Amino acid sequence: MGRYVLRARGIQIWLPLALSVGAIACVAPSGAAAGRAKAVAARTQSFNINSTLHLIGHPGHVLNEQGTFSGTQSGTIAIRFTSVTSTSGEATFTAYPSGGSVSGRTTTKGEVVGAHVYFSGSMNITGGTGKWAHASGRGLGFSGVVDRRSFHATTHMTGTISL
Amino acid sequence: MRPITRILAVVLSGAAFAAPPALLGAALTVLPATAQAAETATLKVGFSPYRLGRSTTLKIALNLGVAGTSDGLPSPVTRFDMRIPADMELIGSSLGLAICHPAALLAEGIDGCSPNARIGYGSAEIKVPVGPEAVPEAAGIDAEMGPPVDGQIGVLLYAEAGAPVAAQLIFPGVLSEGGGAAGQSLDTAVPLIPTLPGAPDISMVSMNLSLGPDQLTYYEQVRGRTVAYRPEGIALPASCPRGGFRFSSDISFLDGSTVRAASTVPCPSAPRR
Repeated sequence: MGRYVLRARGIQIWLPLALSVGAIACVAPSGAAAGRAKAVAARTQSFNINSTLHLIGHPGHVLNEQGTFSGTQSGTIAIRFTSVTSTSGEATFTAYPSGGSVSGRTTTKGEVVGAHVYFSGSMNITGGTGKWAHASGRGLGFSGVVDRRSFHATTHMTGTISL
Repeated sequence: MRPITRILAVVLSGAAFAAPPALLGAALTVLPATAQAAETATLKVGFSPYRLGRSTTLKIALNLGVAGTSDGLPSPVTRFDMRIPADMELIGSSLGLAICHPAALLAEGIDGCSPNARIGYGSAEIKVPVGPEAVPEAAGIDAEMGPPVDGQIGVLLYAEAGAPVAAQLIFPGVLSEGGGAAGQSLDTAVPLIPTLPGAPDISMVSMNLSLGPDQLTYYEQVRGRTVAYRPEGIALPASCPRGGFRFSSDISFLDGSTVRAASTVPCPSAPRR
């Protein structure tokens, strides 16, 4: 009986241990994945914004534009279009969403159709300030149009920023 | 893109061509020699006004001739490829806000296109090789924003001549990115302009072209009213490139030769203090 008890106890001892270990074995990976997912979720930020901008100063080879944006974030934005040609262009920008600023650089291909210059390309995040101080990202989408009658511009930025 | 030519009439009488009819047959056999001549070209480019960082109008003057002669008739031009310095982009101007379609231009002339498509104007002197002498003729030129060509800016040069050859011509050009110091190039195909059967084609001896807002008027609707205004021209960069603004042009002729002409707009002198 005692042997049984002992056995039973042994079973009673080892079963919970086995169950506990099993439970830990089963739970631990999913808990870690959840933690990682939580960590990943905490370190990235969707960045899909539409901007409307107007020209500051004179039009020319460089266009300095300022305006506002809305979408997943909202705020003000300044874009400096440099090396703007009929088929390609580069731009740097600084957006000021809540909690700081995000800066980036874009390269685009474009097409002039009468009054409008259509462009699209990619964008890299080069830095930020405040809660965006460690912002980075590559290959985000950047597109838009400049109306040469007024040099007003609209742009669309889309992608994910790592924080 | 092929050039478009419409010869309306070849007028061989009156003041424009005074050869007696009896001499016409003989005259047509004594045609000015154009084949294998050593063509020459001079290019002169200027800005008006010339203020760095501000809108300007490009003044382009091209003169063609034959080496060793003062009145030689160059072979007809077939192509004109002009390189424009970097940092002088049409895109940064408000020139050519509308698009002019070649069919409308050919059908109705300059009235077939919106005034907001006009980017410049000019003139050309051509010579009509009829008889022993080449008869000079003037043609007016309008530069229009054309439809895009393979993603590049299309430019149409529309020339209209009266007598002795009445013709409407469209020289289709493409303003494309050149890269390097030559930021872009305006590559224009020039159509051959026939005269009489068996006679050489018309030769161009000079062209003056003004690209920019000078003498241009655009229109816009403001609160239901049409308002005239002067467009912004191509902006000069804020600083002058070392050695000045370098322009060059390759001119291709029907005889297969190509001549390069260059012009540099020197940097403005520093203001005296």
